[in-house]
Amino acid sequence: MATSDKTAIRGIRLPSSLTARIFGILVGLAAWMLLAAVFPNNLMPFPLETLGLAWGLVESGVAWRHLGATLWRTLWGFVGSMILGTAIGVLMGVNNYSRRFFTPYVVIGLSIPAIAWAAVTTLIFGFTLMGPVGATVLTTFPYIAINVWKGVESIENDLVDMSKAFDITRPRMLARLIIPSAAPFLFSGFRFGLAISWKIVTIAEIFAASSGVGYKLMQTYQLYQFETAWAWAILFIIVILIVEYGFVKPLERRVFEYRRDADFALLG
Amino acid sequence: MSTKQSESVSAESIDSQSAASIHLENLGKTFDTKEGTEEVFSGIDLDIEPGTFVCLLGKSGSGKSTMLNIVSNVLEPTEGRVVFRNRDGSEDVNLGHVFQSPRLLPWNTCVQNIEYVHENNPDYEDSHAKRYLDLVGLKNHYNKYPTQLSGGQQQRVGIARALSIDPGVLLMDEPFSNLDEITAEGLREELVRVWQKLDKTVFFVTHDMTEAIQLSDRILMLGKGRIYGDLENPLDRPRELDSNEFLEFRQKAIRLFHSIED
Repeated sequence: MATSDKTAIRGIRLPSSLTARIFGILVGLAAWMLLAAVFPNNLMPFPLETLGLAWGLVESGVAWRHLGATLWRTLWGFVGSMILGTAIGVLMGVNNYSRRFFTPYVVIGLSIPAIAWAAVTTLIFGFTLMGPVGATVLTTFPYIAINVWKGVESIENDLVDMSKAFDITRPRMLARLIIPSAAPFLFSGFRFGLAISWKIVTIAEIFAASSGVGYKLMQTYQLYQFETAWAWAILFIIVILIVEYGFVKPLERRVFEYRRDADFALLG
Repeated sequence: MSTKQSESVSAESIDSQSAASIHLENLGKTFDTKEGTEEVFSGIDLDIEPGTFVCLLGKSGSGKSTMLNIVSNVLEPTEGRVVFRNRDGSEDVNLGHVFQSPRLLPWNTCVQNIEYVHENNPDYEDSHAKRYLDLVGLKNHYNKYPTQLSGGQQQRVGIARALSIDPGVLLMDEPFSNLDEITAEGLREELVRVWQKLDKTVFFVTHDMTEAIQLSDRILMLGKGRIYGDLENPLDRPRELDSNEFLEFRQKAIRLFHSIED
């Protein structure tokens, strides 16, 4: 659906979305500079200094090694939690028995802190890939399951009845009706899952790894190199932005292509 | 939406299975409620000849949707049964469904929406869907999504989808009641035109007497748990809504319709 670049609320003209975005970033940078001016430099460096430090990490190759390790663990943690969360979410949405069966696991899963899982999986799996990946899957899957469950529940009964009337089988209904219908919720779970997975892998790496951003952050903390922690955070943000705008957004645009046209249904 | 679209439509390329008859045998339905068992209707016997356009009329709560759901195999009857029979005596009859709202998958194009209901048809090709879209006047809309169509056009896709499975019986549940009168009028004319071209039995539920008289060969009235009115429609087609014959028959039908108390 077409949106106007200029938005008016009660006669006040608001800036276009691009201007608003730039304005938001500038306000954030100003706040950062203000804080950097107030706090000691090693606690809160200025933005340009931080970028310089981040560039240094990239140039020396340290960033690639540790970001690569974190990304690899995040990928597996994310894939595992998406598979588990989506399967449980779909089952909870389509079947009352499954909903009652899984609800306690999801509720308990939501209440257990990531750090607890990280400690447990480190004890069980040691310094292997499964340590951080296990913690990530166990912490993230309930959030994804809840999103998918709500998505499946929101499916229009009329479409299910139509499918039954035309003798559509369950696998076809799942592929052609349930998953596309739950797609907005799946995307929301996807984003949320990815964001949480990052954070949990980082936490788990503090305990359960000898590489990765979490491990490096712990190291910088122990060595009082807080400015380097900020540099790692900047690198994190850059990777997240690349994933969001290079992968998630284009995929979302493709999946929701059918929504982009004007809704003429009300014209009769 | 222009009702003139129908002029450009052809049905020559469609091979159609012949119409089937419908037989309701001692049909009854009760629902269990908190207050006890509530009877919707009982002991209904009815034979509908193949190729007949039947309208089932009833006031709100008369049970006409319940009856349609039983005929559609969506609900089980409490007693009795529904039998469909092809002209050759076989009982393997396809049922086409057209609902009150179009019930299209919004993420699928018109062609894909028709393809969706052809799961058990290994010979399905998109040209099949396109033929039926042509038939209902949607020649230039094959790859459009439902949101790109008007309400009337969406309902045309619903009709094309139902016809595309080559049903012996077409079951329609107030399909035009959500449309404005001008669009509904155009679709009624088109439905009759398509029905006359394809040999189909139509079981059409409505609460609109004018619509029932305009469309049907036979009008059934449901109320108080039974079929209390069964009128043969004597009017020739095409039917003029403002002709004396139409208005006289309408008066007679309305008197019969209101002959039972609420």
